[in-house]
This record gives sequence, structure tokens and C-alpha cells, in this order.
Amino acid sequence: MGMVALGYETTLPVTMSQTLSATAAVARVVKSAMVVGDMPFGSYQCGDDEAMKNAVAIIQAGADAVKLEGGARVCGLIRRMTEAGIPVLAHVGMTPQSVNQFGGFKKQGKGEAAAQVAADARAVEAAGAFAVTLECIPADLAAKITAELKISTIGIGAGPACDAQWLVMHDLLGLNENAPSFVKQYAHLAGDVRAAFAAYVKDVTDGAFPGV
Amino acid sequence: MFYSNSNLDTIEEFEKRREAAAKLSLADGVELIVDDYDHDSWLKTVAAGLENEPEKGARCAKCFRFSLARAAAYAAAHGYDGFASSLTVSPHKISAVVFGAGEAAAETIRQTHPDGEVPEFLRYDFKKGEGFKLSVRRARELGLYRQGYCGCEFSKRKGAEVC
Ligand code: SF4
Repeated sequence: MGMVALGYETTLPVTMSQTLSATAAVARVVKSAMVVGDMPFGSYQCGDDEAMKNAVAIIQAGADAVKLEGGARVCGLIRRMTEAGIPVLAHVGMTPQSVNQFGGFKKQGKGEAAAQVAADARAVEAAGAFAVTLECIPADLAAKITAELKISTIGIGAGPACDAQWLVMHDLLGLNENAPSFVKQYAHLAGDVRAAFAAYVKDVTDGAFPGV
Repeated sequence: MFYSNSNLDTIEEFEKRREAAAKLSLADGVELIVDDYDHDSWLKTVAAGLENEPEKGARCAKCFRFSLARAAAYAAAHGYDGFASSLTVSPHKISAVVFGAGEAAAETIRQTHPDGEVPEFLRYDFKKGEGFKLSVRRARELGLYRQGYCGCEFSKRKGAEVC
């Protein structure tokens, strides 16, 4: 949401109130899909009690589950949320909220770092996460983790072997013209939108719309 | 246990794998049903035009559909509630593609039996939770033949993966 809908360069500026209104809007229209509210940066880094309150707020806004980023370091929180009845989708590998630590949106888990990503995935499973997102890691590592874990893996830029795949809606529809290289676009709506607005402006300035 | 392997390039390989399936079915006390071996029809229906596709490519997706269609037809004809596929145990098989093939096979049956009870495809992923390692251990314990290539002649090419 932060990068494709709100115009931010990273996901870091997204706030709890933006998350709550987006979660509520999605939850109002969804009929059968599971709604997962993504905990924004800062909402679970300043103490576990505050993180719990924020997770509860996301559920109360209409989400069925929350997602948070990190491996072993967030396992205490995953355990606490799960025990409180809040299903947690974990997220390891290239975790966008740690972009400043990574020095950019760079592939993680290459070479010796693979063991750490695999250990993080194992840790979040043991802590109770119901599924884990694997973002931007080598495809063979994602395949290995997918086979090893009992919970489902959801890949984004992590090859075809994951149990399920993420694709950001704006990227899928071709609304985001700066989409990452692993994205596949199934439509090119940005061009259609631009053409529609240009046609509208032309009609107004030509006197063709509105009619008399 | 439904053994269908028309994708195999030779009848000798079909027999080796059938024997392994027979040992397993005996050990687990389940009936083994052996489907006809019809590699010519597999070549025509699946491989024609896709001989140079890499593994995990379009030929493999069609190959899954071929075998799962036969499994679905058998399951429907013999009153089974559902069917799954052991193809998912291989780390070289993308489970989502196997599931797609299984569901397509079930859908075809549904369309041809509009009023009847038809078997459902069960999205069971045998590789999860170290399933592949368990299968290797089980095969070793039972002394089962372990294949050295996926199955068709095109998977024997240099650099192809062992599934
Ligand atoms: S490589 Fe294996 S899955 Fe692919 S077409 Fe050949 S036998 Fe079938």
C-alpha cells in the first residue's frame, strides 16, 4: 500500500491509522478471501504490549490475521499473538521495513546467509505463524524451506516452488510503472488510464462533453 | 494406489517402478492398481512440439494432466470420493502446477458426469514437513528402486534434474 497507493519510496512511512482505514475498506468488500492486515513499521518495534494493542486494532478493523516482518527476533511476539487468538503471517528474507539495514531492496539469503533465512523460517513456524512470506531470496533456498516447513510459504521474488505466490495488485494490473523485475504484468492499465484522462480533457476542451 | 506411468520412456523402466510400487503397496496393505503403459499416446498427446521444453516447463504441466486425467477417470469409474498425487513429493515438481492439473482433471470428470457424485482432487502436498526426506528414508528401508531421471526420454538429457 505504501509504495503503490500512497506514493512513498519505501513502506516505512505507513502509519497505523492508514493501515486501519485500508484494512477496514478491504474487509467491507471481501466476501470469501482471508484479510491479512500488514503491521506497519513502528507498530511492533516499541514494546510487545504496544504491538499487541496494534494487532488487536487491526483485527478489530476487520482483518482475519496480521502480518509482521522478521525471523527469530519477532518470535516472542508471534507466540504471544497466536496465544491471544490472533493468527500471524510471518515474513522473512528481504523484509522491506528493514530496507535501511539492507542498504536497498536487495536479494537476501545468498551464499552463507541462506542458513539464517532458513533458521528464521523454522523459528517463525515453531512460534506459531500459520504461514510465512519468503521475499526476494534465491529460488533454490525457497524450495528447500517450502519442503522443510509444514506451514505454507508464500513467495514474492522467490521462485516458483513456494506453496503460494504474492503479486501486488497494482503491479499485476500494470498500474505501477516502476514495478520490480520479477513482477509479471497481466494488463497495462497505466497507459489506458492516461489515455482515458487525455480523451476526457480533449472532449471538455473541444466542447464534446458535457452535451448541451 | 493407482500406478500410471505412460510418460516413462521404456517398458523396462515402467516395470522397475511398478515393482517398487508393488513392494510399497504390500508394506502398507493397500491395493495396487496398474494402469496400461501407453507411451505412444503420451508422446502424441503430451510431448509433440514440446520436446525441447526444460523440466518444470510446459511439457511437464501437460504430462501431469495426462496422468491425473487417467487417475481421475479411474477414481470416477470405481466410486472413489477423491484422489491426490504423489507427484508433489518431489522437490523438482511445483506443487501448484500439480494441483492445477489435478483440479483440471476433476473438472473434466465433473463436466462429463453432471448428475453424478464425482471424485474431488485433494490438494495434498507430500513434500511438506520434510516429506521428500521421509520418502527417501522409507525407500531405503524397503529397498525400493530409486529412479535416476524423471521419466520421459527428454528428461534424460545432460543437466536434467533427477526428480
Ligand atoms: S520431465 Fe518428467 S514430468 Fe516432465 S514431461 Fe518428462 S516425465 Fe513428465
